[in-house]
Formats: sequence, C-alpha cells, structure tokens
Amino acid sequence: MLPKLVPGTDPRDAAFEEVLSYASENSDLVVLTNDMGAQGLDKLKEVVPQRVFNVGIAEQNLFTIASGMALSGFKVVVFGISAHLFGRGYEQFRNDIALTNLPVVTIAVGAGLSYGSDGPTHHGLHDISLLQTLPNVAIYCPSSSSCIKKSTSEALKADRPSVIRIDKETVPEVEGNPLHSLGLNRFFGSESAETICISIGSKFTDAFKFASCIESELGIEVGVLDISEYTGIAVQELLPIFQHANEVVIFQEETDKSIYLLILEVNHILGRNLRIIGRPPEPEVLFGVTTRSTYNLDFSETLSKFKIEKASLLVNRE
Amino acid sequence: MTDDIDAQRMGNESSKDKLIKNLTDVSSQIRLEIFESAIRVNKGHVPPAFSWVDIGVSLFLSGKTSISMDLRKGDMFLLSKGHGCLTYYSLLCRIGAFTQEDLEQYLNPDHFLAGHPDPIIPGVPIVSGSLGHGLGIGAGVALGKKIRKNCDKVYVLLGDGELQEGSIWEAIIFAANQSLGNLIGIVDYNKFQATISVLEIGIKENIFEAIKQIGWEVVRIDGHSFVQILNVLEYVNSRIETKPLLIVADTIKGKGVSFMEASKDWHHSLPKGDSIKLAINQLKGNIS
Repeated sequence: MLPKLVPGTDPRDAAFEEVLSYASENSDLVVLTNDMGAQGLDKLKEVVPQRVFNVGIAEQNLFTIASGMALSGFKVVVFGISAHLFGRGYEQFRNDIALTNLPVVTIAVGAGLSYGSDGPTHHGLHDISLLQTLPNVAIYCPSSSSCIKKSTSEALKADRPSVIRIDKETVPEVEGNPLHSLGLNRFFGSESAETICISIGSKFTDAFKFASCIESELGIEVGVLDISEYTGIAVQELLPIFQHANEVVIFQEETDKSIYLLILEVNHILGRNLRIIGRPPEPEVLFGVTTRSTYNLDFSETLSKFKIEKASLLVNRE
Repeated sequence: MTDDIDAQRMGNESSKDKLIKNLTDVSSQIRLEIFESAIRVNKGHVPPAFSWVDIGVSLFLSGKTSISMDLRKGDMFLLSKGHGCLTYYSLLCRIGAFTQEDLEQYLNPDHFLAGHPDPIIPGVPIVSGSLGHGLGIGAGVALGKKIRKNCDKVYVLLGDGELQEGSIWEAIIFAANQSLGNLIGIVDYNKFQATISVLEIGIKENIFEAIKQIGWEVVRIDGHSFVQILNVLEYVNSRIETKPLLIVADTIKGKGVSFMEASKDWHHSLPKGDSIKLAINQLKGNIS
C-alpha cells in the first residue's frame, strides 16, 4: 500500500532555509537575484544583508556576476524564474558557469507550468532540455520540500554547477519512507509493482494520487518513481523496480524526452516490453497555455488528459 | 585627471625612455610572432590582435600592474574580446604561463591553444569568444575583491563592436551602481568590427559620454602611445575613486602592416603570396 500524502511547505522557503543554514556556518555565501522576491530571501537579507545583491532585471549579467564572484572564491547562489534565467541567460550560464565548471547553485523557480496563468513567458518547459546537454551541471527537480532541502544542501557542498528547479506552489510530502532511495530519487510502492508511475519534480503529487487510485479501485500493484535528481538517474540501479512491471505512466510537463529513453533502455536491458500507456500532452499543446491544465487532476481527469484507457490497465492480467 | 594624458607627467625620463624602448621592441616582436603563427596554420584574427598589442604589453610587462599567471592573487586580466587572443597567448608565454614551444602549437588540435581562449590554457580564467561576457564577469570579480577589502584591480579588455551587446550595458549599470572603483575597462577602439565600421552600426563617440553619465570615469588615450598608456596605468594605481574606470584607447586595427590597417577587409582574412613577404618585412622592419 502506498503511504499517505501530507501538507508540505513553500518550495522557496524550503530552499532558502538550507541557504540560511549554510550562511550561518560559512562566511563565503553570496546570493544574487534579478529583482526576484521571496519570504525566505527576505529572512536571508535580515541575517546577511551585505551578501545579498539584486543585480536588476538583467539575467545575463546575473550569471556573469555569479561567474566572477565564484572565480573570486565565493559560494554563489542565484535565484530567479527558470524560464527567464535559462532563456535570456543561457549563453552566460553555458559559457561562464558550465564550461568553466564553477560551483554556482541556481535556484530556479517555476518548473514546468507552475506559473500557470502568468502565461508561457514564465513556463519552465524547456529548461531541462537545454541544461541536460551541458556536462558538469547537476540538475535537480525536487518533488517536495524535503527533497528541495536535501538537493539544496547537496548543491551547496558540490564542486560543480547545480540547478534546482522548484515549483511555485506548495506541494505535499509523503508520510513514510520510500521502498528504495536512489540518491534523491525515490521509489514508493510494491516490490512487485505492475504499473509504475514515473514523475519529474512536483508532478510527483499527481503521479502518487493516480497510483493510489488504481491501487484502490483496480487492485493493481503499483509503484511511483519520483525523479527528483535528474542527473542522478542510473539505469542499472532502477532495474529491480521494473522487474514485474507491465506498463508505465509518465507524469511531467517539460518537453524533455529522457524518461522515454529511460524506458527504452530498461526494455532493452531486461528484454521486456514495457508499455507507455499514459503520457503528458504533447509539447505543442502545452506551449502557449495560460493555465496549469496538467496538474492537481483527479483520477478521471488524469485518465482523460494523459490519454489512458482504463481498460489498458487491465490488459495481460488474469 | 583630464581626458587627455599629458607626456609632461612622466617621471624619471631616462628609465622611462628605456622602458618604452623595450616595450616598443617587444610589441614589434609580438606582432611578428602573431602574424607568423596565423600564417603557419592559415587561420587567425590578426588585425584585432594587432590593435591591442601595445596595451597588452604595457599591462603584462611594464611592471605597472600585478597581472600574473597566478590567478589567485594580484590584478586580474580578462580578455572579453576573445578573438584578440593571439596577442594574449604571446603575452601569457612571456609571463611564463607556458613555453615558446607551446605557443608554436597554436591551433594544433592536440594542443590547448585554440582559436579563442579557454581556462584549459594556463593563466586564463574565463572562456571568451562570445562577446559581451567579460565585463560582467570582471564586475563580479571586482565585487568579490571589494567585499574582501582587496585593493587589486580587474582589467577587462573590450572590443568597440562588443559595446553593442546588451549584456555589456547590464554590467556597466551594475558596476557603477556598486561603485566598483577597482574595475578597469579598456576599450580597444579600433573603429572596425567583422564586416563594417562600428560607426555604421551606430557606435558613435557619444557612447562614451553615456557611460560617463551612468557613473563611470572615462579617460581617452592613444592606444599606441606607450607614454599615454603608462601614464594612465600609473593613474590607475594612484587613484582613490569609487567609480569604475573606462579607458578608451584609440587604436588602429591591423597596426603594423600597412595594407591591413584601418580596414574592414582583414578581420579574419590573411594575406596570400607576395603579400605575406611584404607584411613580414614591414613587421621585421619595426624591430630594432
């Protein structure tokens, strides 16, 4: 049986709690923003006001300043909206942080469609696709506040660039421990799971709710694979999870196709034929929307939006 | 400090004369070295390198700065106009970052000296080649030094065409707002970019007044006068100022080879046939 979901905390507060903790023990912290605010950031300004800089509405300079300060030996944390940081500032991030392999931590809010009605200029649909092509960069998509804290703590200790993509909305926590922990990635559910829901980031909530429904309504043994540490996915470590699986449902909003490639690889290694029976709407459908139409769905909405035939869940079962 | 540097500010005439003579000779040698490197591999941005040789030699070899291959201490130098790297490589070799043998491996695929600088090269802190990054990075380094109450300077060599990049203006505003008096931008104002003059694109003289209005100190020098270059570097060392400083250095693109000078035709083109010999003769003729 899957454990329960319980209320979580604001993702930005969770991240800045770890940054504040770092600041209390280290004197080398600097935080840069492009005129972005957050309660957690305000608390940080009270504690270390001389180390928080608003560089203005200038995303390219945000990353070049970060690069320069990191070269000077500071631990730099950058905070902004993902779509803007890695849209306008991509080249600076690529050349001046990734290529130079500087340990800058970027807290990028607005993963997926979490900015919803603010519209497509604020949606983080393409950032993973851009970032994953850069060597050296650790990409985190923490699914909950506890994962955000762990990923931020890890990133602050790392000697390479890290990007932590967080939701704008508060997401629930899971009450209970995962069956398997693979770095920051987690697997909840049954050892003999037949249907596995795979999620990126805060889509974990919907994946978890959907899996709980099919477990209770259809009596299917389920599992939920929470991808919170994107660059930490080691296929070999995931294989035991898929031993008994027949099908997967993919929960994400981003355009990136890595999960599909992961399934291909699993199928190849295990000699299996896992079916992908549910997938998010195509990128062209989500590009330009002004609502977060693929989040916080109930069971029937999930079936509809993810094009899952209820009957397909019962194929190949006695 | 007036905009025009006056030769009357020179101190001890004979030692300074000697220094200038030495720097002049080194500049001539470096120009020849650059040209021969590019011809050897049939590739290189020679005129953009030539225009800042005198500035570079003064920064690296005159003793007026503490730029060294040890990036952890002393003044820092950032080449923002990365396509001017042939000069940079010669200078780095002369301060001991790598050997003459290494220098002769320019564009060898198995070697570290590529067409634009990269931190894989000893003594090079940043990747450059895409324009518009160096001033912001320099501002970040300068801010870091300021926080640590470190008096070292950060010198950023910029192209004039590079001033078209929006990110440069982000850095200009930031540096002024943060009172980064230890940030020294140097514009290699050679009046040409890849295919056109900077004026035709819209970079006019009043751009420097605009930078001054934003909050920088701006001085103008002849970028081929060692007297003026050395004087301004001495001024940098003595100034107590919270404003970042922009040194606008009037230079000649392709300086040293007459048919390549002040032209938009040679940005990354190289002479062929007899023109090569003519160029080499001119460059050798400048070496005493």
